[in-house]
Amino acid sequence: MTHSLHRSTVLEMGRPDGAPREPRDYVVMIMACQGVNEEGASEGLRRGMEILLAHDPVNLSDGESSIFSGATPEVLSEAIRDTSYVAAVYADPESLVDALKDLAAEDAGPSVVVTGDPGELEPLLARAGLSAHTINLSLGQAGTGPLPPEGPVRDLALMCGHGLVAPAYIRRIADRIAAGTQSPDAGAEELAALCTCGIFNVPLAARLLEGAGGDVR
Amino acid sequence: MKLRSDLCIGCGECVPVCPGEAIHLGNDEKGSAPGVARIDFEACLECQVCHRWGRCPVGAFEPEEELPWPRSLRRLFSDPLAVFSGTTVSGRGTEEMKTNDVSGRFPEGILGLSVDVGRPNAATYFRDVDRISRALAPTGARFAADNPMTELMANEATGALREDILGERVLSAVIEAVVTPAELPGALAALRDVTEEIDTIFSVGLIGRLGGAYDIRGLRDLAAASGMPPGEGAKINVGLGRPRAEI
Repeated sequence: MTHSLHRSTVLEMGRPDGAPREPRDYVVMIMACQGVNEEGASEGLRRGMEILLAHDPVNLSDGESSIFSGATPEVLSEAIRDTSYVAAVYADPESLVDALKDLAAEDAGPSVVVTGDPGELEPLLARAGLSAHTINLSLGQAGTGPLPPEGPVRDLALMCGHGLVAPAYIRRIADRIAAGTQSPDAGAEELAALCTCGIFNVPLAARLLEGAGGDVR
Repeated sequence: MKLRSDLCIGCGECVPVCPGEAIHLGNDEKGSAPGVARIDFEACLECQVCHRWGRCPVGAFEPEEELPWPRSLRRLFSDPLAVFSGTTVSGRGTEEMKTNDVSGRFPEGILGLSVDVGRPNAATYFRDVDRISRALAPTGARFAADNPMTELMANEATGALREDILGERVLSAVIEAVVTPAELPGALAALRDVTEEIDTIFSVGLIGRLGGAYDIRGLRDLAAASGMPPGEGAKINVGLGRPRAEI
């Protein structure tokens, strides 16, 4: 699945001005429960994807490919099976709230999970008429090993929960942008193509790459 | 993964793409093709990223159709599109809290722990996963039955993994377990202590059903009082799931 829990782009921590990071970063995932409501779930999942798509997501996937790995929304929708999970990323809170309102109204059956800062998400959920049923809190990292230092490279690497976007590749893209041979948008889309779950926040990635300049070490 | 040294032109574009840092430029094993890209098979995670990347100008990456045991585990735990036979879903963990509104996997009074070993971007050998699961087991943690890592344990009571897989390197592996609130401090202390014994990084998640004993603040306070204060990130199941009979 997406492993969105520990992405650092939802955080405000360490930002010197304390201002919200823009664009924002919310991941929505829809899936059925194996052995309970999975049989025949593809119809509800497909309808869920239609709703997510209607509210301007910055990424969308069927769990196996995304709109940045060569698939169109139509292809993604057709590929949905009962066992699929549907994921979308939103970069602004209004789109998230509107999507959640419509998902609640549809009441299609699959479970819906949102990743973000819980302090920020709680009032947004309330606006959609929802509340938290179960939570998975990130308790952070421990251990010894080659962890990229806090900063844009780490933020970008964590956007793909499976770790498929290598820090060295992020640095290569940032170097191209700093050299003027690639645009931030194109660089972000190139990185997003490797995130098969489609939870890479492309506009936020472009902003991080652009702002990083030559400092992404 | 195979890399065709007879095709490689040594451009080096693929080198930074590898999440396992397993691709290097150099001579091939016979020294007959200087300056071409080579895969360090010990470091290779079989994640398929180099092939899926699709930008090699000569198409030099060729996935192996079938990997022998236990190397096959590298792909199962490193390629999100590989399906673990025990769970029938792609990925390395269970549905955990994502479907808790339907499954009831985590009722009130039962907490979930997810220990994502090798994340972020560090990768891990199963021998380090083994050290962590063996540290958790004596704390009372019960491992999730349908988690691929649990299925690879030789002894679920001790948390010990099968000996024949310990030398395999994967992008990450998720240990999932449940504990009571009273067991949580001991489990988190075990995780802190085991960091001295391992050569990788792990990320920890704490799962709780809300609305009864705990709200979000209460669960955060419990984690902090148990020795591992939460950060700001969280996944929230918003309770829209319905059992099939109710749809």
